[in-house]
Amino acid sequence: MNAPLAARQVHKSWLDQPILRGIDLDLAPGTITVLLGANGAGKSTLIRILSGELIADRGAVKVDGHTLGEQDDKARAKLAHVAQSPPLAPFLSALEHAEAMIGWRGLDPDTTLARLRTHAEALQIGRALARPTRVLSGGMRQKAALCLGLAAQTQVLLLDEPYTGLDIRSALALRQLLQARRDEGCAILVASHLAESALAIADRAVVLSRGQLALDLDAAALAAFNDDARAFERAVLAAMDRGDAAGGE
Amino acid sequence: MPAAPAARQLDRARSPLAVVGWALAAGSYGALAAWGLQDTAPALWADRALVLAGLGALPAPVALLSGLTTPTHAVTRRFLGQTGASIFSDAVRSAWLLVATLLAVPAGFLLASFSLGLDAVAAQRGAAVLSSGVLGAAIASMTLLAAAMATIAAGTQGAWRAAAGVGFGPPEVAPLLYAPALAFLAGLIPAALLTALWNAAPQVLSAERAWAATAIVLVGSALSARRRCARLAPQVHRALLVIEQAHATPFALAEEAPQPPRWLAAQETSVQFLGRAWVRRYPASLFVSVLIALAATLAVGPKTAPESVVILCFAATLYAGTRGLGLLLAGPELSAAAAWLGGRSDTLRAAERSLALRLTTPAITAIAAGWTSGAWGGAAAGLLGGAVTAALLVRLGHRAVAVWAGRLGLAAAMLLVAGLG
Repeated sequence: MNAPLAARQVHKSWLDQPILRGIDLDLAPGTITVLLGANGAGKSTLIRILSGELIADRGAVKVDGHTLGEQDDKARAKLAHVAQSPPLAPFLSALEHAEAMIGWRGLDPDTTLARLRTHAEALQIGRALARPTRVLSGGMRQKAALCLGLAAQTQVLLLDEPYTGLDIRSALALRQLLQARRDEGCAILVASHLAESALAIADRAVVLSRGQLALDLDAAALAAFNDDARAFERAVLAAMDRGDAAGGE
Repeated sequence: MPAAPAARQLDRARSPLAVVGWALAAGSYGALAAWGLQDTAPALWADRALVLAGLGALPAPVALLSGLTTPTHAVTRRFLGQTGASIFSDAVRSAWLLVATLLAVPAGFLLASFSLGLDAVAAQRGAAVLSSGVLGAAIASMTLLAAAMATIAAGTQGAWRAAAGVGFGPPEVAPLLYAPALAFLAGLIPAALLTALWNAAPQVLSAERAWAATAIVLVGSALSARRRCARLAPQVHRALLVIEQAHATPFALAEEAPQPPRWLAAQETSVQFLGRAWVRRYPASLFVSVLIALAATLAVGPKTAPESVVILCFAATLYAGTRGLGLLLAGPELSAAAAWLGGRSDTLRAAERSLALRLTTPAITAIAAGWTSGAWGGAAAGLLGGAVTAALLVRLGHRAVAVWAGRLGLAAAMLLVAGLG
């Protein structure tokens, strides 16, 4: 079975400084994969490459069988990406963003807008949907972008630090929304530096350290932690240390 | 307690400095108008005076309209009730600003006229036209604002509410949105009548009669407005409560983005996306364009009505151009947002071209027509109305306001045609 998203030997450097060193990553449908790593580990760079926003120096990324960079339109139509600082047009409202997204992606307007409103209610920004995004606070903008990403109904959803700026109630609501998208068959990748929140939602967790995947835990391995967040954090930290040691050699 | 902020606003409105500053601005406008007339043939003075009166009458209602309808001016809208109270109360108590305008505009105009050696009788007729235009719009603005607030207080704004739709603040305050456009139209009627009389039967409009007619009309209007406003005092204060409540309760509504114009809503996605950003990017450009048109009129000193039309069309084009500049400046962020949402760069570029062409065509056509003379002047004036209407359509993005903008353009065309004799 083809993975909705498959990355092979992805390399990326900035000014001769390697950021990603041969990443292989498949996202299975109907799973939530959490990408963990220290600040500067390359999580955002990897997410941007997987979304087609950045081009890898080497390697390939396929989305539903379409290679990014070669069949860009087809590949990018299958995925949605919500960055840490989402590129919202400041003078347009989230609803207007949604209308543009519907037109460009060929989505069903009724379904998409209904989803958007449902997500917005869950994240408590229902009344802010019609406001220009420039009058929204940082947290509200993040929520609006998340609602748009969730409403896009794509096969792949990439989220970079989605919990940043969210209050507890909204973070719980987002968790439920992501689980609902997973149950619909969406392959979700969540970049985070918070191990505890990752354990609560992940079907799989991968740890990025020094540009390489230092740990890959499947659902069974995660279940073995038995919701012990401290033990999970220790395992993640140990993987990071191993990655640092290997990178330093 | 809603009266408190309104009272603070009143104090500011009554400050002597504000009145002196206002008088200086009005006097400067009068002097510049006289300077603009000095190279014009006497036969065309009436037309020029009407055009100048229209330009002088525009800023107040346009600024008010701009403040009411642009998302970036949501703060202005929230304080509109207090501003309304300020204008209302100032008019009822002493109307110092109106008095300052009434004295300063003709004083500035006549002083400059005499120093430039203009014909004394024509100068006094011109002063009458200018005063009646500028003051007529001010009095009408005050009156209609108070009337709008009374409508709000009575809660009978059914038709207005339907016209407001969504996106321009709470429907409860909808009547306030339309008062400025109506005030501009109504305020220019005396000036247009004076101009028509000046053109058709100049002997009837002697200097003395011009002054008498102007004084009677203006003083009568001011007194009538004052009396009417005084009668409306309780309703105005009730309206303040309604406005404050309407803006406080559904706060989100006050900052909602306006609905796109109908023609834009029918376009393909990229045009819609860019068009919406374009219309909201540069909120001050209409006001700036009016000022530039006024400055160009005074500096260039056009001798025929079509030349005046050309200058106004230049302003309309400038208006569209500043919107284009806004879009250009917003390019990177719009491209990033579009790419994120699934848009393609080639369709965005095509949309930019389509928008630019669509929005500048009326103004360019009007300019081309304006360069011709004679009967073409009327056609150019009509096209000017089209250009202004198109600009306002883009600016305001609202069907009902666009209807009023169309009427405004039509009235401007009729006035110019009447002015051409």
